[in-house]
Amino acid sequence: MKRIILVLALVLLVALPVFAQEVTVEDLNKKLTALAKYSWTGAVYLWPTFEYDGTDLLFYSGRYRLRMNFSYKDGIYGVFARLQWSNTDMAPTGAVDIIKYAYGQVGLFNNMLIVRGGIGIPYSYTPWTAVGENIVYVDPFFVGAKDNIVLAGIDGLKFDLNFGPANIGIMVPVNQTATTKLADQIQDLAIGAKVNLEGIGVIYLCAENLLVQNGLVFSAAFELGAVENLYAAAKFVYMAGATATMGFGVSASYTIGSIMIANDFVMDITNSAFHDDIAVFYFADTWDVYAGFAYDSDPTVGNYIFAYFDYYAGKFTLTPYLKINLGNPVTFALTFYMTYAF
Amino acid sequence: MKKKYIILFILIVFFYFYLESCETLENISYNCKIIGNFEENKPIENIIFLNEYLNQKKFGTNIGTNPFIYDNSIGLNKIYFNLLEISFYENNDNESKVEILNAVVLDSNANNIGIFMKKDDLINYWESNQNIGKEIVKLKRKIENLYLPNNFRIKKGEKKIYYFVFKSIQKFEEFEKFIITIKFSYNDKIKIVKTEISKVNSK
Repeated sequence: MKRIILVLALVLLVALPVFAQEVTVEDLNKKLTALAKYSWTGAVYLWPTFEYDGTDLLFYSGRYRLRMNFSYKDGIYGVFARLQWSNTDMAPTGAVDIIKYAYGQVGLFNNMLIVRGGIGIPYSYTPWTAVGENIVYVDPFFVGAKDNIVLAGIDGLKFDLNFGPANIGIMVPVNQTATTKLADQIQDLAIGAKVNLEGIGVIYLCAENLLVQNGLVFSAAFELGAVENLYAAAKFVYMAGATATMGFGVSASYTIGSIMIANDFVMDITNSAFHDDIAVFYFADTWDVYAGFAYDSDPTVGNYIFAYFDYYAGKFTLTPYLKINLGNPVTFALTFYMTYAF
Repeated sequence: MKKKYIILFILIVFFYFYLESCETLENISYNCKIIGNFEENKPIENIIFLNEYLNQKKFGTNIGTNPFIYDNSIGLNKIYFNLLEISFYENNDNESKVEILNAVVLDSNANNIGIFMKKDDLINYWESNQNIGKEIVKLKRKIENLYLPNNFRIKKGEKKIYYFVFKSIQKFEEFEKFIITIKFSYNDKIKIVKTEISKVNSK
């Protein structure tokens, strides 16, 4: 009996490769798509800071935050959400910062039309508003006309039309207050367009609060992509209002091997205020460092020297950031941006 | 005072995570044998498999610097990016035109074990990653500079080195042997190049 079992086992062992099924690209693609259908990722952030304010040495945590990202994709459908617990309220609507965004999407006509609906939908057409965003993010890296920046987002609906090199987005905010009139909602319509000119650059146009009397915000930007190693972008913003405000920004960087030199200039034309950053970057394979100088025409912002060092180890990132304010007295802050992503 | 203790505690937790992140990988050696001579395969000169150890040694262990690591989800089955280095050399024409059409990878039983990622696929993957945030700027720059483009030109005497990945369910390191086939157009002529990659000491 034992011999029969042994012989059968041997026959089976020899026969197995014969019956082995070939895995095609389609089979593998299906398996990979099924595996990537759900995704849960996240990160923990901690930003302890040592600060010398001219008299005392302070130690505090600028931010601690836990973030969880969820996505579900099944063919043309998708659901995306970000949950966040933080000591700093940065919620899109100014609400309690638990749900950063949550929306569903469907791609129609071979993704020529993508419809999204939910709360705090990140949108991506508005180039940086020279007057507002640049001042918030005084960082040479992120100043410029970027289309991948998650701005505050909207609660409501978003329609994306993609055809050829053009991408048009229409955003319809939906107010959660039951007494909101339809006419008020339509007033807040926003429309944006992005046109990719192959080998030349990208044009961005955006208009928000389209029908609000004295509320229109219009921005236009151009990113140059025609010159190797050179990034250059310019943008213009017009904000209607009792006192109309105009802003202008230019950003340029040039890369030579692992070194990049970048400069960003932003100007509030109406109030004759301006800000400029200049920085030199060095990118190694597993770390990078940059240092620079910032000048601001507003004495309350002042002039300062800044330096970052990004060190990456596995899922952990450590970025010490030093900022020295060149005021009287000289003050400084050393922040350790720590992130553990999972 | 209490807040300081909380920060100290979180610092200790971070330090623990940091130590956890420093896992050691085994550096398994591979033979990468391109089939045929250079004249037949021109302008492809060589294809090398960079295992996980070499990948991380070269580009780092963090998705902030290394776009060739798949950002796996918590608690779900893993997906892998398997990194290859390809070198091109032009010895004849003044300037040649190369277009990468496709690449497949088969194990010794002729099963497909990976899906070739084109440059745009990889950029799209990272752009739609919710976890990467502002690091996308650096990753995109790296992919643009290093990744195998769909089309490019190469001048006489010039050597170009690019990287590309296959997405898979099993790490390529788990296979004793696999064959990579690259289909490309060279000055409008269709060519196919095969490379056999096997573990050193494997039969």
